[in-house]
Amino acid sequence: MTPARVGGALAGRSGRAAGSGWRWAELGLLALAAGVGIAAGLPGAALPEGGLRLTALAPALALVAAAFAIHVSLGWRRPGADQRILPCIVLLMGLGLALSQRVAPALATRQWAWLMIGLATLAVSTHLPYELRVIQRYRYTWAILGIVLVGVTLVAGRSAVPGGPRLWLGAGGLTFQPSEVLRLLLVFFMAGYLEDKREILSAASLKLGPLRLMPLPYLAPLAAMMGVSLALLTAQRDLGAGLLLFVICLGMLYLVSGRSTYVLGGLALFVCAAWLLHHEIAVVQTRVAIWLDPWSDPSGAGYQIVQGLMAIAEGGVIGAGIGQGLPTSIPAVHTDFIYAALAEETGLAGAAAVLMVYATLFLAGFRVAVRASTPFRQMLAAGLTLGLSVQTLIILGGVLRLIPLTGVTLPFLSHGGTSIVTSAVAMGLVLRIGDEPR
Amino acid sequence: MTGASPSIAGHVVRVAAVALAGLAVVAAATVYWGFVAAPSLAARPDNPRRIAFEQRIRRGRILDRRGAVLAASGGPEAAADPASPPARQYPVPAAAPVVGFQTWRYGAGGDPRVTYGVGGAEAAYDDALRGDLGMSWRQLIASRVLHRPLAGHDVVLTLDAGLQAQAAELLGAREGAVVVVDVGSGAVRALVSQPTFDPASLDRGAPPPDDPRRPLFNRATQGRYTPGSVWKVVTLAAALEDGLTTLDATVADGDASDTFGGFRVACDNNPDGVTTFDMAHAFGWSCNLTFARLGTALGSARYRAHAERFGLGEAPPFPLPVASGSLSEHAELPPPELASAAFGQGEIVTTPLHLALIAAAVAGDGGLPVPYLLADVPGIRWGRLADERGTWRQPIGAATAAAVRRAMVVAATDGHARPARDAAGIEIGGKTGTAQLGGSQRPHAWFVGFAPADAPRVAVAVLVVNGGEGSAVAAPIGGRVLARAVAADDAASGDRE
Amino acid sequence: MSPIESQLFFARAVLLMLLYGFVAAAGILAWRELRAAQRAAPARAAEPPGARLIVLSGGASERPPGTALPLGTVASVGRDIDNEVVIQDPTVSGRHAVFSFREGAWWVEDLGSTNGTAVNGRRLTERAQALLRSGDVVQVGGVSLRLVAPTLP
Repeated sequence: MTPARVGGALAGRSGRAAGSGWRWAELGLLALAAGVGIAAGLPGAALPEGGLRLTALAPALALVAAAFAIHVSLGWRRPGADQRILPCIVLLMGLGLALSQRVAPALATRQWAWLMIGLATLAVSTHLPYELRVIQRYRYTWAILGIVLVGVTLVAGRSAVPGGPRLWLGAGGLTFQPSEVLRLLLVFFMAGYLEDKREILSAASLKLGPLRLMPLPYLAPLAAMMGVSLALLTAQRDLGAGLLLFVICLGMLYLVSGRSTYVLGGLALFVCAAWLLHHEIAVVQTRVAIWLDPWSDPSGAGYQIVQGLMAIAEGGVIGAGIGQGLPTSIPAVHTDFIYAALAEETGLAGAAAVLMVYATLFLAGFRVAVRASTPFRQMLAAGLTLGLSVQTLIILGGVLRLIPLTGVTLPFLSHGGTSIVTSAVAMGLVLRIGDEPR
Repeated sequence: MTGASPSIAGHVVRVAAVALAGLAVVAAATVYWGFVAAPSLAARPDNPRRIAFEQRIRRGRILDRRGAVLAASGGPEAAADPASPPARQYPVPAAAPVVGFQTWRYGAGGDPRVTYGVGGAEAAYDDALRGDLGMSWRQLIASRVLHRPLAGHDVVLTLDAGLQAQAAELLGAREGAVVVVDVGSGAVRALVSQPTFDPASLDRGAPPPDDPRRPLFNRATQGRYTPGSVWKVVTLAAALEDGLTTLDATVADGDASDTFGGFRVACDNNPDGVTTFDMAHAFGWSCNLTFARLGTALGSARYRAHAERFGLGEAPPFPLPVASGSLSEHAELPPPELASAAFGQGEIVTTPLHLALIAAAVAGDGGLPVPYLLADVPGIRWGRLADERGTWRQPIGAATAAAVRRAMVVAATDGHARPARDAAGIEIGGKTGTAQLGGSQRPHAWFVGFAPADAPRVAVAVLVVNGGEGSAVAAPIGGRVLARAVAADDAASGDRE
Repeated sequence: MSPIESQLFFARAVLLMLLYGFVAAAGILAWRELRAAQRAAPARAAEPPGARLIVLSGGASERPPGTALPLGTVASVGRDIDNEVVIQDPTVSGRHAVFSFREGAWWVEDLGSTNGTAVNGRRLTERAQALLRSGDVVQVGGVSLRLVAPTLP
């Protein structure tokens, strides 16, 4: 054992890749991801008489080029960042672009633009020269910003359909979904706040002993955040975002405390709230009724979910092939139901592979959290990854009728500019946390 | 003190495990919907993929017994646009009651979405026409795994397109039915029901379900009508089979009358002045009194047993929907009803197809054949290939059948079925009927018969609803149809030789 | 199959192959990391519980004699707060020495400190390592520490 080994071990603990050199693993994975994006776009570019319309592949190629540029920049400035995160994102974006061109060609250019903006945001949030502690320092600012955002949405929110949930904020032609931003702000706040109060938790739990009461300093902000999610839930009818924020709260509480009593207590609270909401709010009743029995009204209330399940059923093992299925029969297929389109056109094989890509992405994010050097960095990386994975599970569970359907997007695959950008910010920060600048 | 928190790291690992478990559940659910529950979801009629898939199928043609096209789909170039599905061509509109329809819109019940609908032979042989049957493993993989459209098989029917068209033309605008079956085999050569529909136009504007003309109603197989005097064929056969009478028995009912439980029956249809004749002529002249006496002599129980042995009250196996006839709502027929049932009046009702089968039975060896439509599906080596064939009922022996046959030849020579023979121009056997309906309704005109008289090959039943006298209205149609069927038969056997 | 059909089929096959190529590559990467972690693991797995340094004497250290400083598998000692074992003493360098447990034994290595590291009075040369036994006294600058490793001889 040479001294260099010990030094290497120390460097490894700090997260910097042992044996500096090019990020070959990322490059190789990125090449495969680029191949997936282009292969997925091929059917859309194929001409009926054979041959290819290369211009149709241009957006995918531009996406790939941007991805490679980010790869180079990471090798230069963030050599220790995780090597799987960028390729996973690029693969999902490439597939999402191809599916977008296929199910919503009118919106595909817009989606492409958002994906490019997303990649740019990813690069910016990775490379910005500020310290991550800034996020920790301004934790109350994030909380206030979040509450203001909800308030403004409640007052001035726009609805996609007249009389529908007012989920959108915007001026002029540009609108965004505050709930997506709120998700990010919540993780910032929770990571900073909980890290700050970590010691109090352990001390208080010792004092209270068998009572296992939640220490008061936790109760207030937690209640505030619960209030925010419930406000979203009730006033905006945005069930998906409400559920997402709630689960992120619980998850981050568990991350810092390791106390499953918090999770159980939160779940009990959730059941009570759900029961109340079920009785008070029509839209919750409808959603639950559709979830329990979509077959009784397959052409009315249950139309979307039934059509989605039919699409998945049609896919079989290897799918109909991109462009060969009929996913356009599903309402909102390009946002909430993109997974059904994927399952129909690439089959169980494609859907399983994409699930594995998500698993790889989440594991990479959690791995960064495990290896991060400070509790705040750990909480931030884990919280951001948790937000993404919970969102993925909520929408996939809804599409597959495991839980009532609530409208959230599938990260990087669905349409939705706000979602792409906030997810990119989250993953950019995780990349940055993984690099550990000293 | 700085440094990572090992406890947070441990919690992250647990949270990551939960997230992975969630993804595993999602994967399992995908397998469930995409594999386990997929067949039932794919088969749902409201699955738009089913329509899209159907529209890409190269559906097989329906051909008549000589290869004439009864139904065919457009070329593959017509299948591309889901908004305007390719209409199927039906070159012989008169064959609609048998061929049925295959449509994308009809039957949707006001639902604007495209729906797959079939009727008639299109429905009965749907799986062969679509290509679901008789696939090689290669085709099976292509369709199930690669989602390649199916190529259907042609289906050859026993129908004779020319005969069908002529029978429909003879009926003209009148409501009614004509059924022609092969004696012995039961192959259906023609099955006309008027008024009918144009299967090619169903996509564009279907007849409403409450159309008073009921064009989609198949009168030949599903219409239940009072048979009138053609039912005397069954009464005569039953009496002969039980040895109650013979064809040569003397009947002196010409100007007699009798009452059955207060119901007075006379012999109204014999030539004036001829009061005594043999049983064959009593049949030929359709003497109600004679048959009321035969029925009463048989008695309610025996009469019902005979009628049921002839298949009354049960539908023969047939690829199209078939109604069954019935004798009476009473288990024990009161004397007036038994007497009128014996000459085909009262509560007794049955279908034209059934009467054609009865005609085929007496024209053959006494057995009612199972009617069938499917002649062949070239190219299918396995799967459900054929309609059921054989003898459906054997109510009488060959000797009795021969005797009834002789009585029907007498009826066509000396009796009221003479106009049929005149129209046919060949020797035939037959029996007319004029089913009284009560009130001011015109009676149904009936004719059943067979040809040629010496060695019958085809049997026919003709119904003109509210048409009037059987011998004036139905018999000429029956005669012409029989002549045409025999001529076509001869031409075909000539071809073969 | 028509040209367009074979083209589409080719695209599907390539797409699935690439997707699974990606998943397999990510899996191989994870496997390699697991193996690397496993190779580093024997040291960690055999780490004796309760190993600690007891402060014997220290001039200006705020750690009074008798203080127990728990040791991790790899524990750097120094004045900087990002060391596992922080000793605020002017004679101790920012990053002074590192204690590590591997191959079933504790090792100490001087990280090029100003005032040097000695084991049982014997000064280590810069960047040299020394094998330790339980009870050995390690001099870190002006601070004396005794290694207590209950599971070691």
